[in-house]
Amino acid sequence: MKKYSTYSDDQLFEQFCKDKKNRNDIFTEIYNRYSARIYNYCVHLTGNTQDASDITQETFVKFYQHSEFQSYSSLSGYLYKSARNHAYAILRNKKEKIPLQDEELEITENTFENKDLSELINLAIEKLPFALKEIFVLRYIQGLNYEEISEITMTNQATLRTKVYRALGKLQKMLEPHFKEKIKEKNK
Amino acid sequence: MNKQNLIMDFIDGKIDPENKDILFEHLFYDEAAREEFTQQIQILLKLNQAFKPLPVPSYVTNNIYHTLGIKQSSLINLWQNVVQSRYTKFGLALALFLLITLSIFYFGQLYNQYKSMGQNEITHSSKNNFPLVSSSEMYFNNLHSNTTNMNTKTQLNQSNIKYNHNYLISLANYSILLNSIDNYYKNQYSNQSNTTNFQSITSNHLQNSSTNETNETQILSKEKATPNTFNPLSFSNSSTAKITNLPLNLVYSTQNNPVNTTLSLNDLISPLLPKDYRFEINLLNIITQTATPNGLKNTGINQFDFNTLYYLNSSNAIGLNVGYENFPQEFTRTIQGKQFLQIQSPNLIYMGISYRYNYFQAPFGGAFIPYFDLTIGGTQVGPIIKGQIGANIPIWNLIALNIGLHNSMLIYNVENKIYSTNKFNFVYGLNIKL
Repeated sequence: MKKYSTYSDDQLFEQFCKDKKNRNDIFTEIYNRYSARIYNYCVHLTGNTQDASDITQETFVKFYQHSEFQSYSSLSGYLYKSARNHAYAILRNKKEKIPLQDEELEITENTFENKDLSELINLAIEKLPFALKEIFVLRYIQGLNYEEISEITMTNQATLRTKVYRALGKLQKMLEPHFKEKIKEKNK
Repeated sequence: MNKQNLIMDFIDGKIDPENKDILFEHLFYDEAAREEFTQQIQILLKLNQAFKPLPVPSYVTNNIYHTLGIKQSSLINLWQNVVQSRYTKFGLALALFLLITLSIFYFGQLYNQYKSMGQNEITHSSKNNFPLVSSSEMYFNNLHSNTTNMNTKTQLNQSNIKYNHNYLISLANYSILLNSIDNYYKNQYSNQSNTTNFQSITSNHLQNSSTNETNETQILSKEKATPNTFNPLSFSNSSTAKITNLPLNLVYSTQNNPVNTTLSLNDLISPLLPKDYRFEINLLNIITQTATPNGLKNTGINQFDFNTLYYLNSSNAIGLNVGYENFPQEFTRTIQGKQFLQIQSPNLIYMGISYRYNYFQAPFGGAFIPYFDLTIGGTQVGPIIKGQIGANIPIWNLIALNIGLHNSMLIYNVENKIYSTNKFNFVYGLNIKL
């Protein structure tokens, strides 16, 4: 199994489709590379670890059992898209509202008390509209490029850039009081 | 190219020099845009710190492999089931805590042995199991050929007694020695009424014996007074002295134990708490020194502080503090018209209300979290005020190592005179978030 650790994602994906004999070892390598990323992505999408665990299980079990990968250009694209679909299914089953349109952002001044910027960023991202949050997380937390995000979300790259820009703008607006407070403290 | 594309290109590191100049020129003239841009960059720079990736729970991995019928390698199993398990992490933290505690205890013992080498210990007399003194006057007269009138407080105060640390400890040794002998008499002569717990050392003796301990030891050995010579004197602080000899298990486990540590506080008061409450428990060992009949001892693991905190917000918390700590005491008493200086070293149980402030904005990215802690409470002998500054050093998600400096002030009353014990100690322990 050690030899697969040197393989690129594309090589692994290709071997996984072709090499039935070493499928388990290749799967283990893929799992080691992607399980934490997929799990954390699911935590961001669903907002809880239980659902994230279920989705991660579903994603990797389906991946192993899947035999037709022709329509997917990349390993990460398949895994993220699969996780995203499971997440949407779970959220819809729970009849939770997934706001695809922008909603009013609510963040009170009390929120800023005694919290550092890292904590506030976490809170602010949670308050982003779902469609913006998802793309922002994929771009800046999961570190995917626009091409990969485009494959996962089936959205063109120009739209993605606009959404990321809007998400960043909203985060900045939400956190503006914190920055102003910091400037005041410095000037004292 | 519009502003959005310029900013996104800059953020993605794909902006060409020409467009970069255009962007920066725009930001130079537009203060609001510049401010927005700076804040956006700060947010992106902080993102890495804002999100610490969560590990995949081991049961998820096990379920996947089990469903697919894939046998996991034993090493992966071991890593996921044992090393990564929260119980193992807790166990390791506990082991680390015990290791530090025992190391300090052990090295403290070595240090004490080293320190006591060459000293003529006053505690040698304890091996004789003799009744030491019943008549303080006789004791006093034997010690000092020149009789001094110690009947008035004024004279005692004029003596201007000053003690160094070793001397204080020697006297504390002595007080415990007397307690041990006291117990001996309780067993041997149970019919005798009210065996006393007092220690009688004159102030003059205090002044002299620090420079001549050998002499004192000899005299003590010579004094073979009979039990009948004990005077049944009442002692207002006798409970204090008795506490010195309490076995440790009484504090933890007996039915009379005032501190029931097995009770789940969470279960009891959870219906009363707001939805987003947060608890934290601090288990601390207070490093002090105390005296025993066998010499100076590091207190090692027999002193503790148990603090349960409820967080009002991310930084401020209130809580209950319970502990068991050594307090050297030094006070004057009048017995049969004579005045004595008494020094003892009892371990007291304390309970109090505490307030804690955590400073989360400390540098080094949360590598340690400084805190300030104030406790006001009471002991069997009087009120207590405790202050503590220190830092929590996160080890794992919910567990942190805790180190700090700790100041305790015990205030007590003896014969309508107020005394206080004020001491600084090093403390260390575990901080557990619930």
